[in-house]
Amino acid sequence: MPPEEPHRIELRLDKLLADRGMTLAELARRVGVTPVNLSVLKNGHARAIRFTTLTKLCEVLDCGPGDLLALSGDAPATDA
Amino acid sequence: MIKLRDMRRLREPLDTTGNRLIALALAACFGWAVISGAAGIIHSLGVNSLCTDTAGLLSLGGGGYVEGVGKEGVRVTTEGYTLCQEEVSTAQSLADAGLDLPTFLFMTVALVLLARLLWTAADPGPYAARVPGRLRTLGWFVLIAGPLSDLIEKYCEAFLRQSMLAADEPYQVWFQGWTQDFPFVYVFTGLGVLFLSRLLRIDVRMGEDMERTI
Repeated sequence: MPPEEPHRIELRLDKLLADRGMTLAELARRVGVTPVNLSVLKNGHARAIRFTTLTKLCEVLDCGPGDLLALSGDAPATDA
Repeated sequence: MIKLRDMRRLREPLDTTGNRLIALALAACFGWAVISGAAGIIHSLGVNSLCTDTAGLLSLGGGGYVEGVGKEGVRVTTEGYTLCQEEVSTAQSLADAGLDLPTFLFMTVALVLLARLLWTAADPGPYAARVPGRLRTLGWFVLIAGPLSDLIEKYCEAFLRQSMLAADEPYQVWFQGWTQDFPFVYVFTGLGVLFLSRLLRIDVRMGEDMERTI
């Protein structure tokens, strides 16, 4: 496998989960991915995210992709 | 250390010789289908006389020609198993072409779908995301178009018979004939291919998961 280039995309799952009082296991069950995979995603070890997974995450957490993804160093997206 | 060439071979298990053999086999099949199908259809449309099988509906006994069974100008020959007519109408010519055309179209499209699948499996590779989708298309096509082409052929056969027989043939006769000789081979092949595509889809997803795509 070719060496991976570093990226600055981070997933703000921690904050969204805390805001909604949801656990990672519950989110994984409702989204339909394994807790291990969701943990990989949360810790920034994932290589890519499927649009289907992103859609389900947004549906379950009732948020937009901009609330979930951010360029590290950026301020979190806020509702207008 | 794995060389670039070895990595490419891992990704593309069909080597150049394999690709060439597949291309040759496909080209031969495609050529055969086009030539034989087109020849049959052109022959059907160009003839002035044609004969059709009575599918065992008539068993008159004796040889030679029998009067009164067929419409005017129709000869019932060889112990009542074959109906022949000299002056053929356009509808009869089309029905005669319909005996070969559905299978010809089915085989041609199936070969195109198979070729498309094999090219994708050769490059970018059998575990590419597009391969299960193409396999599924082929499976659904074989499952639906196979029995359908057989049904159309049976209908054309019945139409030809009816156009030559004096007595009316109830539609149940040809439909029952189709159900009795139902081409289960297409159904089982189609279902098998669909099942395979499902397995391959799971495989591709597992491969993506292993590459940490969530």
